[in-house]
Amino acid sequence: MENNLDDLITDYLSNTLDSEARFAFEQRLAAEPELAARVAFERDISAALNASSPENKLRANLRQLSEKYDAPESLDPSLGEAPGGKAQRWWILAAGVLLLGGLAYWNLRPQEKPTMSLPPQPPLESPSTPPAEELPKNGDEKNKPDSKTQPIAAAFKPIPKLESYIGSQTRSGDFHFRVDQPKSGATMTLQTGQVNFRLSGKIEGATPSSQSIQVMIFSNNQQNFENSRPVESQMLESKPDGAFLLQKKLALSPGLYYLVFEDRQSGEWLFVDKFLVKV
Amino acid sequence: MENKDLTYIRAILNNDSTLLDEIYRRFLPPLFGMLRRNGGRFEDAKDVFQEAIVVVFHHAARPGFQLTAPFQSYLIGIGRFIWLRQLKKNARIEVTSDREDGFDVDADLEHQIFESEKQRLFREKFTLLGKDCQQLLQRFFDREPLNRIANDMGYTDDYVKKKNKVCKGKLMELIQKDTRYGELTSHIYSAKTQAAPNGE
Repeated sequence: MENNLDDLITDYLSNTLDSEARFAFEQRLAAEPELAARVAFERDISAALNASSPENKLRANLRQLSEKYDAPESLDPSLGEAPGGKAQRWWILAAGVLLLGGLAYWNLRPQEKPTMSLPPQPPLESPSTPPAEELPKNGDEKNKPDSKTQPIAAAFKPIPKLESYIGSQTRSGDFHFRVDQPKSGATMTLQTGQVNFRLSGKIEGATPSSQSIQVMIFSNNQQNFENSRPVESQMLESKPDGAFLLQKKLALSPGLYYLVFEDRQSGEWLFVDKFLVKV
Repeated sequence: MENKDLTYIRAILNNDSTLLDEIYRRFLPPLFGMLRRNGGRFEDAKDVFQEAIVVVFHHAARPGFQLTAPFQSYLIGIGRFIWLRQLKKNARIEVTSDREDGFDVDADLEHQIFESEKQRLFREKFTLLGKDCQQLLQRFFDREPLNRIANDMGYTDDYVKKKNKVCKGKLMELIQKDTRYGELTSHIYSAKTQAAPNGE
């Protein structure tokens, strides 16, 4: 390409050519595809990098907003009223009840784990349950097991984020899950290092036809949960009437486990519950 | 009353900080959930989220744009497409077909996603230039008058012109040498052809 062509392109793109020169240059563009491609390329680069372009202003704004959220916990989904927001509002109300139920369950553990010395308490659940914010921050603080039982206690320590979703249905409208087995908080017994895991129930309402639902089992390991490393993961296959059954021998250690149904497309949790494994 | 989904679209088009913040709080969690299932971390989710918003910004600004799905499906569908492309490139995990169970990204939207990816490539290559070149080119791209740039940088107009030419040449070379550029332009061409089969 000729030497002053660069200047000509720069002048053309920066709109500094007079009308006659501009017209002549546009004639060339129409006749020379290679030149037209080069100008389009430079225009693209210039547009992508112009700091005051609407896109880059939007990007700058998004970067600023994004800095506010440095961890998943900084985003509270219950603040939103996204599609399905009714369900989320329901979560807020239910969270208090469910969290309290979860705490009560935690307090009941000594009955199942003789190595722990927590006094059994009746499960607490009533419509007048105070909201989650008013609950004691963590039941296991005041009922902390002694150091000798710590390793076993650790395996039963709840994941707070999941606890608040236990038993919740995130879809209030089109369909919901009825899980018959395992019952919420059920205990499974290890036999030769394995449990006979059986998940049965039914999708009630308008059964989702095109939706892929992933069933995941997480241990109570916070890090594995955050990094989405379930101990077991499988697609949920349901019959036309919505019934589902999943049976599997799972090699699990004693501890607390969470059952999570997730919409594979949106990543949305559709159902959360928990069960225990003991020797 | 305007549909909430359209309010979100408008907020993106208008760069409305308050509503964009709401969009972050409401839709980043499900996007992160989807990424987690596909080997992504929270930082990846934030990047993909930003890119998806930018794609919406361009896509929704096109004449005749119609939102044919709920905003959440639309945004997460775009995010999914962007993330799966990244995974394929990095070969971090084996991924299933883009459209197997996701939001149906049509040719028009695909074209926009590739365009945005191309612009991201431009920005990435720009950061590889020396500081001087970056400074100078940035001011050119921001359409500052040449004499002001020369004056501020303590150069003559001629020198600034020459330096601009060299820096721009270097940037174009960096972009064109990257195999992604060829791949993206061919994708863009093909998506454009599919979107407008009559050559419109």
